[in-house]
Amino acid sequence: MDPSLLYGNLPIVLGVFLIAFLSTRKRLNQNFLSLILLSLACILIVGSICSGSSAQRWSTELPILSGIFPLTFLSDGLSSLFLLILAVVSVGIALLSPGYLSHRQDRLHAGHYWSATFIFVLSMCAVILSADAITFLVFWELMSITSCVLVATDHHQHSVQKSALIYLGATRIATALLSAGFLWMHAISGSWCFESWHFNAANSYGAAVLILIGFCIKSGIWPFHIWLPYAYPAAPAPVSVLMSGAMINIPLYGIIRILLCGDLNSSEIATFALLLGSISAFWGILFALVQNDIKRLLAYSSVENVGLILMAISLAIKARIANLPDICLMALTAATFHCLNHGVFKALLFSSAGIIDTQAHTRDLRHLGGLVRAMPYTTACFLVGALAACCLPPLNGFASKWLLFQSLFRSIWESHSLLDRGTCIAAICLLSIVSGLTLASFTKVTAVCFLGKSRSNRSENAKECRAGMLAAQIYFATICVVLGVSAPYVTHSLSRVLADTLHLNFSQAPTTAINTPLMALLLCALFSLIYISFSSRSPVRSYSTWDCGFGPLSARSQVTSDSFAQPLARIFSPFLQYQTEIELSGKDRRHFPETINAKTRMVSLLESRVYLPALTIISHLAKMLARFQAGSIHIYLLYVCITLVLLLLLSAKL
Amino acid sequence: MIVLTNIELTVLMSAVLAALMVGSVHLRVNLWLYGATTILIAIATGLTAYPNEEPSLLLIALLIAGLKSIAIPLFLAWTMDRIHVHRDLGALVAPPIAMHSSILLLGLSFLLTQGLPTPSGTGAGWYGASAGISLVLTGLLLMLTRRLAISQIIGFLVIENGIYVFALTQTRGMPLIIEMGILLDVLVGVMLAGLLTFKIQETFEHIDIAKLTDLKD
Amino acid sequence: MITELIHWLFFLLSVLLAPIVILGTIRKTKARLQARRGAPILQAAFDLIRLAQKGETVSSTASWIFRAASTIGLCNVLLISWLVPWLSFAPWAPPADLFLVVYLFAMSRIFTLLAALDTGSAFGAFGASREATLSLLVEPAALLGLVALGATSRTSDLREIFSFTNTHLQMNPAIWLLVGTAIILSSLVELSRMPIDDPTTHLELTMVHEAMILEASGRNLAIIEFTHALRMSVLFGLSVQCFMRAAPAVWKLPEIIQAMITIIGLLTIAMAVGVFESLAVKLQWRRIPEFIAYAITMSLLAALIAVAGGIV
Repeated sequence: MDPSLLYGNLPIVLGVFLIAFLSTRKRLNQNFLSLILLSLACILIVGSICSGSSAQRWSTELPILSGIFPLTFLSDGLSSLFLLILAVVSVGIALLSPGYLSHRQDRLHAGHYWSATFIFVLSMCAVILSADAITFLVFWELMSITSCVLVATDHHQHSVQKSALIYLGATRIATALLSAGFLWMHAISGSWCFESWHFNAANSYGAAVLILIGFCIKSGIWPFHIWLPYAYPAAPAPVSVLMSGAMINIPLYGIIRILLCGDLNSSEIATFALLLGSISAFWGILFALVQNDIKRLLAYSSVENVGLILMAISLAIKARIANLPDICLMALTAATFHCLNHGVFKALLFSSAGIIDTQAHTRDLRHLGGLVRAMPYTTACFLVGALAACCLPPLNGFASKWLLFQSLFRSIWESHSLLDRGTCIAAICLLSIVSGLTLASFTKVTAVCFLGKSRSNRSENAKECRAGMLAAQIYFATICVVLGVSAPYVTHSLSRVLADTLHLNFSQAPTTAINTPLMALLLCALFSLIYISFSSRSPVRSYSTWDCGFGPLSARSQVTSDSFAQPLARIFSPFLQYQTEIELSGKDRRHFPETINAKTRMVSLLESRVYLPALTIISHLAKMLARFQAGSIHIYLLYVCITLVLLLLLSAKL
Repeated sequence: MIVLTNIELTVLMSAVLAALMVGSVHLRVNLWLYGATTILIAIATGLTAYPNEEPSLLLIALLIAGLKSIAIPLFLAWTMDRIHVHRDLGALVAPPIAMHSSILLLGLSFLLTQGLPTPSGTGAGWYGASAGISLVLTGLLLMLTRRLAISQIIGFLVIENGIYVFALTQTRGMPLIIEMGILLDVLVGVMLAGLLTFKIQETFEHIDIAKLTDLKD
Repeated sequence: MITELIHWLFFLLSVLLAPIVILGTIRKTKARLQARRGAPILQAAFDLIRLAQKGETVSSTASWIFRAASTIGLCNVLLISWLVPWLSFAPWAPPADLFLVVYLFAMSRIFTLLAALDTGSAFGAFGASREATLSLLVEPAALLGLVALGATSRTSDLREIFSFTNTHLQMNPAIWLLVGTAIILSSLVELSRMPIDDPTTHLELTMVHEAMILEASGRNLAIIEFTHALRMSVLFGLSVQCFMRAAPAVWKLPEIIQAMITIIGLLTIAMAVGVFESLAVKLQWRRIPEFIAYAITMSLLAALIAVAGGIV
């Protein structure tokens, strides 16, 4: 055996042993492991920032795959950008995990968690760096399987098992579609390398659609988003942080890397993607509005954000086809910047949700409330995350959404067909509805969770979390603020890198015309000025909330998450299948009811009307197929025989 | 940049007014808006008289203003008072959505009529035709999204306006006698429909056409 | 330099005075129509000063958000009033991107909502829930109208759109009229004025804005009231600017006359709102979408014109 090969494989073999050892331990020194992850992530951050937009390509051989083909990797501006996102989120995970796991010691196997997390993070790195289809698929599978294992960490619960199964199913379908698309492209181009794939001829459009849908399933685009609201709530907090902050970006990276860089030349597919993106933005946030579980709400909001990113990417593809490099670059900057921003603020929100879960022992908004007094720092961090998710200036979400708005807005007059212009205006209109809904949902979750009085004992007895977990939140919140305030610089450098990577010749970098640092400074100055000039003037008296003179209000008289969302849910009831039944009973029921029963029902249209019937049909078919599986060895031998004869006949004919 | 003539501007404005009609379920508001639409069409007719030098069009304009935009709304308002209905309930889709879709239909007819051949020598090009088609579509939408018989009459009147606008802008003006005939037809039709509505109300105690399916057997 | 200073002086004066005068004019008009003499025009200023000097009562359930929210709201609206060209003249300001302005409005809104929900009062929460609904419906109308203007003049900077050197929009009265109407209709909703919400009643179950600020008192209330009035003058001012530009003759007039037209326009709109509020009745909650639909329709029409590339 070639000694150099062995030498090169040594770290991998060692790593496998280490991870195998790790996964058997139930109790281990978590701070040490988190330090390793932290340093790994920091190296990644430094590395990806230093490498910038310079392209490097290298290949290695794995012992298992030696002689079949080498694994090729490519590092350029685009991949270092997504590596950066992954690393930024991983730092937070390293801070969050030890504290979270120690709260869940009885239910979670720390060894399993840590080993799977390491493999997950590393495989995501490898997916981002891979330069050919086989490498991509190998690590993609590793990533999917480990994330599935991580979702099932708390596998004693029935609901978690179900969620993990749904997620597993979704990843299988995604991989199947991707493999089919990759094989198709291999047949056309004769190469596995992404760089030699070009989607500019009509015979490659089928492959492009397959690849697009495969990636859409994995990133949770409507109508394939079904797995998302199951998987995220079931996973432990650090895992949902990692999945929503980092993993969800990888399929989007794939779309950029394979379809956009592969010169996809079909405006129809781009319009189709734009449509899918806008529907998922609307659908996701609409369903987020009516959720009662914080993590489920955040999961649906992820659907929305992924939809926004897909919109930006498809707009970039459209602009590239129409030969508008400025808009293409702007939309692409919007997409990648929003990947980063969404990664950070969603990571922040998911870690806060996890912390609430550990401190108040519930994620149900119906039992929470008034956490601001017990957990002031968590509240502040969550508020920052919520404001960023609503894309409010000067936080980070705003900058990327502004870029998306601008690229849509500019295409209105840059594009020549009236239909395209109309599409752009409609998209802007939809985005404004989406931002209104986002505002309502995040107001709801912030207010119901943290403000007012607590709705149960559990939230009343909550305490502020430990320093490590708090550090994770503060870390994410700081990044939200820093990215938002320094948005013009970030946008500029992002678009530089992207332009270099994609070889776009653009007339000017789309720097944000908005001077966010000035804006933030002004807001702060005005705030302190007004606050100081008014603060000490008058005495402040504390008194109970106005109760119409009927005596102290109870926590039950407050608004609930359902009642806050009710007017909006009514307006959109055709989409939500939202129904309210109110039943009054008692003597003289109309004016003096003794009991009032209000029941709201919401059925997810897709699940009940599309997926459930489809599943029924599939299971029916499967039952029919099961007849062939008689269990008798003779019949199986018969099958083998028939197949053999058929194959021989076929080959003889050929 | 699109440059419009006065005639095109007037008929497009009438199309917009008709689209606004879809948004209100108040029958009186509908009648007012219908009157305004028709007055605008009468003005457009009057404007067409100049370039074509057909003074008979002026007479038709006066007749339209007098009969269609004043007499018919007044008669329908009188009928409404007699049968005590003032507000439609709406059907199929909510009035706001219907109004927005009628605006979108206006845009659609703009797109559709771009391909039509433009007759020369008329007062208005395809913008006028798009106003006419949009009026017809709006009338259909109005009839689709309303329940009461009175609203159906109003919808029918809007469609009739649309056809008239289309003819006005795409031809060099019809002979006076045909115009008069159509005008009289409409008048008599509305009278009959109004009286019939009155009778339906007396017989069935409602004028809800959604319930007319009971008559099928 | 001198003109810039004068601009600043007049701008600060109008930020302080316009809200109070507009509020006073509306109240005076309503009083006159009810055959009362009515309070003096500057009564709102006296009220605000008195409120600011009063002691404050804060609910024991409320957190720091409750008191910070009003200040944040005022900062936002001050910033908006500096950026948005709601007067025909303006001091120097950075580009007022229309999406930024919309999101600044959203920023002040979310803090109002949070403050209303902070006290745990059911009234405040109802108001907040309704406000969230209304703003969702009304935001597309305002944004679409401004986008239509921007797309026709090929810039997203409001100051450039509204500048008198903008040739794209000079001969385009239809789009200005439509957008002006859309803004005035949506600002009635945004500001919780008459057909949506009765600003004079305190019947908690029907009101929107008043329910949200039910718990505010003293200087907190003073800040909120002033913020609201300033927001009103910015929105009304913006629609006045739209209507002004619909007349091509105005574009060439000297700056002083344009400023006077602005002032007259603002007062006219205030009086019109007063008259309208005396005549109209509050709409049933479920009928409000039908009202907002007209604002959206105006914006849709403006958008159609923008898509077609402008109509003369």
